[in-house]
Amino acid sequence: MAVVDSVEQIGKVAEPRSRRVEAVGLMWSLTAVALATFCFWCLRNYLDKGQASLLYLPVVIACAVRFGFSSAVVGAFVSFLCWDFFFLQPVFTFVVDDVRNWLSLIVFLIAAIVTSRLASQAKEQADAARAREEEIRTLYKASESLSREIRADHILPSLAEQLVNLSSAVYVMILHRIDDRWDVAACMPSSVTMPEPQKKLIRQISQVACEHDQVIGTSGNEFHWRRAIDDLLGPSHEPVGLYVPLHTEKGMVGVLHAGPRRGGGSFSALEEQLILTLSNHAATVIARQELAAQAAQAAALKEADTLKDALLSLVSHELRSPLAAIKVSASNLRGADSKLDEGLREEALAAIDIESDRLTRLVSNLLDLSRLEAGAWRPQKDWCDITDVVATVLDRLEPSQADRVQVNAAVDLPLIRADFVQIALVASNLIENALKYSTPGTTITVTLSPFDKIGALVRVDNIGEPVEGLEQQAIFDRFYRGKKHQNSTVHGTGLGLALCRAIVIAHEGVIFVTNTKTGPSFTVRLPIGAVAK
Amino acid sequence: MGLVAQGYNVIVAERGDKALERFDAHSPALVILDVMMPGDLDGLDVCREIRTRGDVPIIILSARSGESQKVAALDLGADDYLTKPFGMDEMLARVRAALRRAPAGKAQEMTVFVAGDLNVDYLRRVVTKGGEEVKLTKIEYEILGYLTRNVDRVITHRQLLSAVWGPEYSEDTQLLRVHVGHLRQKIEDLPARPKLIVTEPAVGYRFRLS
Repeated sequence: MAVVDSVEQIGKVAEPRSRRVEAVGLMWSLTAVALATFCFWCLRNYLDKGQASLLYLPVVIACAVRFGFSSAVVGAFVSFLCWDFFFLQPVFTFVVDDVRNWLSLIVFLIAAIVTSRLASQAKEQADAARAREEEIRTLYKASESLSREIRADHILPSLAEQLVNLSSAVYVMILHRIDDRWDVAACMPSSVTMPEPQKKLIRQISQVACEHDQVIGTSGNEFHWRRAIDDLLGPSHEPVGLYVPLHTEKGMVGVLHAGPRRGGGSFSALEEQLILTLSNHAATVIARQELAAQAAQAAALKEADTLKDALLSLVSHELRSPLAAIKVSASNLRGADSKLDEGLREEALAAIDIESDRLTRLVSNLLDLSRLEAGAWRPQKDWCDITDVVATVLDRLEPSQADRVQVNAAVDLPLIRADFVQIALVASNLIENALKYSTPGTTITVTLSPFDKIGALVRVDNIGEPVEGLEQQAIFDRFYRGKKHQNSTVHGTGLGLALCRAIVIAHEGVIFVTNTKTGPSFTVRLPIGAVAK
Repeated sequence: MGLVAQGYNVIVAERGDKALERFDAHSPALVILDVMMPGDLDGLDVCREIRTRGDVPIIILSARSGESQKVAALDLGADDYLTKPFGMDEMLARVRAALRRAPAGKAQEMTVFVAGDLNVDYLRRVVTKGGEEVKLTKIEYEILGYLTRNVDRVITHRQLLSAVWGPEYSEDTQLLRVHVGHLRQKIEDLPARPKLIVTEPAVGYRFRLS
């Protein structure tokens, strides 16, 4: 609809412009005729008085081609008079004696007018074709550079920039309406700064444009908007520029606002056309952005849903079973004190102890993971000896478990800058996992070696079932538990490796799992961190 | 609760100012202090105040995220720390160790230190392991000497660096890691699994007797 409006506007806008051009053309055609008359006067002795009307014809045609039909007609008429006045007997009067001369004069006039008509028509068509070509080229250029922009948040600024370059608007602004708020989605050139009252005014006019669904600022439908703007600003206001409401299928999504024209005046038809066409582009882009935002939100919701499910199943199983065990043991101890012999009492106490440890570990893992992922637990980096880290981890294990771990530390292991506590958490998770999932009684090997002078490598190998290819990524995901272990007696929460990965990533390191002949092998690569002081 | 069951007499204070009041009234043998205490005076302030009044052992309680506060309290002169959550056994062990150390206090003028087959002679500045002399550099000896004089006590990086190298080196943990590594190579049975000089993650070291 905006386009239909604009087509009507083009004709009306064209008028004042062409009037100016015509005046110039008139002057030129008069000058040309005067010049030709002067030349012919000088050469009057050599000219055939009867044929001479033909001599003016090229001048008139040239005027028609250059300045259009009306100036050519004036030129033809003036030529007619000049010829009569200067060259036909009696000279210096408009009286014509000879009937033949009358005839040749009339023929000249008719011929001049007809040919100028044809010539000027041809010129108009050529002009129109050129204008159309220009327009198409500009639009093509604009849309080409737009389609080259891949990132959505760059398209609108780039579109605004195109408009500033191609039209003579001082600035171009795209306002995005979200509910009743107006956001500036793009404003070009970026050097434009606006005082708050002007921004407020722009928002107000945008509101008017949207409410009435009217293009504001084009000369074509001035009738529709002039009064509204006059009411808003008072009768003698500065030029407001152009406001084009942006439609999508969901309704108005915003306004494209082109600032006033550089050097004042109103926009040319081509510029208006361009602004209106690119406004349609902008509307499409905004619609697309809104769709993309909706899709992203839906995806986030879905992920949150999956996580919630995983957490729920974790809570229902991993939290409830230790709680149940504690509850049963505690009730037994309290209620039937006398009936329990010493062995059973010990067993119940041990169960409470072990299960509450398990709960504590689970809760602190959950908290650690969420703090890491929220960026609230930044590594406190200091120089760390990885051997020391592993030794500390082993020191905290039960001696019988710790004895199953063999540490091979390279002599030239570099110190790395890392958070001792966090790296210890990685090592303890890897080692405890290895102890838990390996074939009972086998040895766990922890290998510590330098890595290309830029880091340190920690490898934990155990003997047991390999990790299948598809699971090699997934086991580092939150709440993921290996298929083989999902229903097994080995307890796990699917948090340990996720925690490891979060810590290693925070240290700009890499963690991955491969399979050796005997079983899985977890590798952590940590950069030295800072250049040694 | 666990402490009372073990026969200790416990006085509880919920806030920093109350803690100091009761400290003055009862002169306890040991203070257990939560660094995250509510009130105008936090655990660190209380720790500093108590240190000005005497040499009573202080054990700090802190959350896992409170590393910096823990270190600050230890630097202020606290003796040991416990990270929440902890077991009652662990707490009792720390309390016993702190009380055992207390009577000797500053007057502890040992001439010889013995831990298993390790023997440190402070007068002759000689260290032997299993009867054989261990050649230590001056720095290594200083580290070992400082740790063994404060046996079973957490020594922060800053304390150790200031004591051995001087206060201007108190941030240079890289230096410390390297020398402690060398020292372990010489005195530990299994340098990769140290039993004597134990690392306290992100805090410092402790020379462990048991």
